[in-house]
Amino acid sequence: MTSLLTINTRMAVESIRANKSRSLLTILGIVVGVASVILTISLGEGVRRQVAETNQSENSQLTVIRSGKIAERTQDGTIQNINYLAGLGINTLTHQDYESIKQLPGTSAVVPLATVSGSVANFEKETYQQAVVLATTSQLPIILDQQIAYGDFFDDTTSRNVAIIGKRVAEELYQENVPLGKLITIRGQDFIVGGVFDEFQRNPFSQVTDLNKAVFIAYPVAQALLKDNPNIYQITVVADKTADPQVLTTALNEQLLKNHGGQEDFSVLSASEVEQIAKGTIAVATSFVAGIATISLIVGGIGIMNIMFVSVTERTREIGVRKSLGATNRQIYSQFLIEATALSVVGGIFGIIAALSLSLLIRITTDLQPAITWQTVVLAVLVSAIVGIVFGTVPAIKAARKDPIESLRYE
Amino acid sequence: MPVVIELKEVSKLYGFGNATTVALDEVSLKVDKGEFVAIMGPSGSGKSSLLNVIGLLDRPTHGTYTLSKRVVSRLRPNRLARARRDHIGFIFQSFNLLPKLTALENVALPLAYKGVPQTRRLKQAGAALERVGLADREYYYPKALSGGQAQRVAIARALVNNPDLIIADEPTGNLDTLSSKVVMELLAELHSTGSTILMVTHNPELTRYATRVLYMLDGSIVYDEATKLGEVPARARMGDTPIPSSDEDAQLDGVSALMHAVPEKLAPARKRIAKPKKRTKRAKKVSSQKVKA
Repeated sequence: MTSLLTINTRMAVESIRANKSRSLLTILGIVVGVASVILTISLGEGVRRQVAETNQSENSQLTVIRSGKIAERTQDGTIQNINYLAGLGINTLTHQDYESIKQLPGTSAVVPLATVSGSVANFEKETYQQAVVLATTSQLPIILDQQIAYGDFFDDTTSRNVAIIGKRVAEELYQENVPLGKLITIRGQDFIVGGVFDEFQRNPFSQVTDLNKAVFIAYPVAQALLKDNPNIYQITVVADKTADPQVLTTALNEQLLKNHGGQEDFSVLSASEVEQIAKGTIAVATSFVAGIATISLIVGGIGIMNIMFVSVTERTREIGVRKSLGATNRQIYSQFLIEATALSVVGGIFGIIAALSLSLLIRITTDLQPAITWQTVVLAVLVSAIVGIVFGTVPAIKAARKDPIESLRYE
Repeated sequence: MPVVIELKEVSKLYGFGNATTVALDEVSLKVDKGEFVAIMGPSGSGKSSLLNVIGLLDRPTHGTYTLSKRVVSRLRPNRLARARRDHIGFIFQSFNLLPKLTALENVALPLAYKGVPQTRRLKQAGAALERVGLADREYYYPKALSGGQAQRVAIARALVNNPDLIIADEPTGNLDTLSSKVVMELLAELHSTGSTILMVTHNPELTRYATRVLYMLDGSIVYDEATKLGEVPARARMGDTPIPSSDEDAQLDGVSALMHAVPEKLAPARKRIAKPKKRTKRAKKVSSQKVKA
């Protein structure tokens, strides 16, 4: 039977080649479907890798506190039932939390990250819409493991209006790399650019903002600027070298519960848990988008089914001849199934090629780094083969069941 | 001589209830190995149904069909396909070569369905092509072949499996005289080397290649006679003009009319049949209804 398989496969490829334009249109759906599935998966994989890189360099002494109850904890302390959307859009952490955590024993540094609303402009009153103003304290570069390229980060005692800016802000707002000492207007108040960050290769602890587009000001300065307390979305606690992280976590939880009147509307997470949640968030987002992309695969499959029906009808006489030569129903069935599968797999291969070139384009034009693994490629080929089999079955059955006498008479 | 085909009271009915059509009416037939049987008869006489049943494309409604000592009348479709592959070779009026395969691949196709490995398959196909004198056309596509050549490729395909029986359905119907002659000589040669051939034809001249001529009418074999090779039997000269049986039920409007044209040689047959010379419209109606039923 293997000999028949090869002859059928060869004939399928030949018939695809003989009807080039028709075959091409037919497989277009599969090409688009496979390409979009691969691209979404590879984008997700790329982001996942960037997150993974982050935490290899990260200090395990870090504990992160965020708004919202992101996950539940089991008895032994591992997180489960992660609610990826819990932390979005709400700010339950308060200035009081920050102040009280600072008082806790066993902490060597407490770094808040708070958003300051308001526009950012340069000395020529040109605003930079994408900028985000963040209020924080002096240890931020340490916990982010990020170097200042030019200038210095502010210290905790400062009350001066100094801003440290991300690389992109420098490029966009000043068209230069070192705008040190230049004027920057935040919420209508004048600040001096005191430093420029190295380019952030990733956005640690933050899926919300691109830190390259952020403007950092001192927390007390932000309080003065807002005449209120800024919205804290995250507090990072660096444990003392001597402190037991387990004890500290418990202490943090107790303190916050007390502050929040017993409501657990916050999450105390270790660095590895943050990574786990970040990866989980990416996985959910990726599979969601990949799921949508799969719909185009189904559409492509229907296209193949349609053309196979046409092909079966057109080749009725051929089916009759083959049957008269002794082809069994099963052999006719497999012939048409192989043809549908070949169509689909060829589409899949074109889809892979399209995805590879598109991902290259994305790498060149954006900061994203889509990663196409060989598993993704194998998966794409398998999926397209399955689409061919699934949508080729019904036409193949129709071909196999044709009556030889009627078929031979078919003009 | 061993018997290749044995039909016992084989009937083929289409439709059901009042719409039932009798395509084959209790046909019994025995064909020995090495016979060259020509089947004649007007369209609708049941020739095709007979060929379909004998060629295992169709199953008879009633009766038994024994092909090479094996009862095949009740086989399931897949076993039928396998029996067809192993015992029957088809030659069609319109050649029916697959356009996307070369001559060699076309000939090798029945072997492919049998599961013969490719090298051996192509070797055997090459030998079959050589047998029909087309060894130099192995890699031609059917489009590049003349009608006669295409039919010879089809003949090679029919005999590549060494079938017990070759069925040719008007093999020269689409060919010019010269090509027809080449094809018929080829069939005659196959016959002389022991092949059993069953051929439907409208051309009486072709019966000179046959050893036996069958005439069909209304689903029955009305005449069955042995002929000498090279001779065209007188009845065959009438072409599709059917010679009705003595069975009075088989009388038709057309038949009695036709009888006037029958040569005087056939007078005995004519006397027996042509009783009512003029028939009323009513009688005609009745008799035609009878036939339909």
